[in-house]
Amino acid sequence: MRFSPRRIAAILTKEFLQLRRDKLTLAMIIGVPLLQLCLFGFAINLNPKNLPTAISVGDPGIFARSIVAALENSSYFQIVAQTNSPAAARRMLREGQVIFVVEIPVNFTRDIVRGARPDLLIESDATDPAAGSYALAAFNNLAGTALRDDLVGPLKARAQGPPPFNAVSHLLYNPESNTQYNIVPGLLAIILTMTMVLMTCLALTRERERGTYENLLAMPATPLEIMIGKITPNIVIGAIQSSLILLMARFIFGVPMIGSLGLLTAALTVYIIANLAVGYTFSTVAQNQLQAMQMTLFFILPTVMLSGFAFPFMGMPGWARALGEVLPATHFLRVVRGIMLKGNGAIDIWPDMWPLALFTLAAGTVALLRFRRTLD
Amino acid sequence: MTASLAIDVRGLTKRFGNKLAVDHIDIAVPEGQVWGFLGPNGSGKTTTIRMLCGLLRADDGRGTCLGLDFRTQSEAIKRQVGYMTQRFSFWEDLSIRENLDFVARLYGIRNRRARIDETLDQLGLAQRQRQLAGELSGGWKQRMALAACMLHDPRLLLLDEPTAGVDPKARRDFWEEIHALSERGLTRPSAATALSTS
Repeated sequence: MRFSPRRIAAILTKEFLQLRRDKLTLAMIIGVPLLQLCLFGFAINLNPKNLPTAISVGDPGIFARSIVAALENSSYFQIVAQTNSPAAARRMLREGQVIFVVEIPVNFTRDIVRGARPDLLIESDATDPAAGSYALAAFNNLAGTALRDDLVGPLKARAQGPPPFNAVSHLLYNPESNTQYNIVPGLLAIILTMTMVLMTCLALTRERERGTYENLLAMPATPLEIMIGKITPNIVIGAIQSSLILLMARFIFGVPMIGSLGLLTAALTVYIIANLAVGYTFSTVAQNQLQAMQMTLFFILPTVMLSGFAFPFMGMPGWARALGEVLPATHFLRVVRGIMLKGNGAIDIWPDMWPLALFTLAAGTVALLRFRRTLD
Repeated sequence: MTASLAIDVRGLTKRFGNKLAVDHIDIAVPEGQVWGFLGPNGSGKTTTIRMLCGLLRADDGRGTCLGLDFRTQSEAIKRQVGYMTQRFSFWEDLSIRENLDFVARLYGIRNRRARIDETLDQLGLAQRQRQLAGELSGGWKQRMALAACMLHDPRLLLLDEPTAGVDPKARRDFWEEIHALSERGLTRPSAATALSTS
């Protein structure tokens, strides 16, 4: 047969006609680049500023005030809490409300005046080493500059020579700044979302696409029975995946497991159910398996980018963080890192467990409500 | 024969958006007979059957199917009806036996093994029971589908174009089977009915 531009034109026309009717693919062609541009362009910040910081003041002298001002002026730190109890500050660090605690020691003013060069301690939540590294560098520079305006007159001598105090930083929970400590537990959240949402969504759309769904509905089985029967295998798969990742984390990547495995299992169960409910809800909307995959992609993309898995959560602007707070992965990431690296207990993870449970409840309700007993 | 009615509905109506798919039809089918339900393509035969067995909600109409209100008692109707879909709708990655076993368990059939063996013999499927449903030819698929919707001793068979796309010999065999079943009252002593579009 001779090469025929006319036949090519016919095929082209057919392709465009089909594309025009495939609304979800069209949405993806426009939506995915737009979403990526917005997220990478506006939300992701590899040099995060205004990081929440608690300050524990053991000496409320004039120098302490200058230190607070210098921290805020550096634009890396945002003082969200001031306390005179180091224990309270440490607690905020553990719960993830702040990622830095600056500790101004007792007799700070006196020691500076005497030239004893006291230590100014910053404790940093190093579970995500990337989040705080620029801020820590800025903190170390403070020693030379923070008190310059105060060291005048008789104290002028202190402004020369070595800095008037030592900036000391402690990296908590991950002292060697191993990025694996952050990534591997994070993968638990991401991999589970990917497979749980997709598998559940496919399981139901496959029945619909092949026509077996009509048969299932014609037989005596209730929506709840079908839902439980179709979802349970995926819970088992989720459990196998979780065990695999946790074993690899422990024995290949050497990620510590300081907290309770039982607590982690409980949190994992809630998280897996949350994702299954999302997958089930998608499956009630998606008409075929292709759409199921596309919808899953739309869910995975923000989950990877906004949850704090790939990029520091605290570095994102408020709107992106607000979006991130809706996603189950964001909360689960904090819970996993908290339990594994910080040894958090049930009370510590509660601030992230209730939003996760709420999400699960809401998604589960939508999934059940959207299930139709009929083919309408 | 003072037969009571297996299907007795009046004013059955279904709309899809603005499109009127079924417009106030009345059906009365006596028990124990094989009835044909004829009409051109797109005339609403499938939609009607789906409404009768509770797969679609009717917009209007009232009546009974096997003495049960088809609008409110569809769960009970489902247990006594065998519905054979127009398109083959069993699991192609399961064998004939596995498909039948699944169906039997959903209906909660007692003596499942014996009942499946019996049905397989009756429809000449016994030798192929380990074959995957997806590997069967059109005629054998129809047989398997018929076997599946008869497993639970339905009082009413709803067959939606059961022999479309099947060769004339297989088609004749199929209908002979249906008539034989009807004469035997399916397997139940009470009268059984088959409503078929073709």
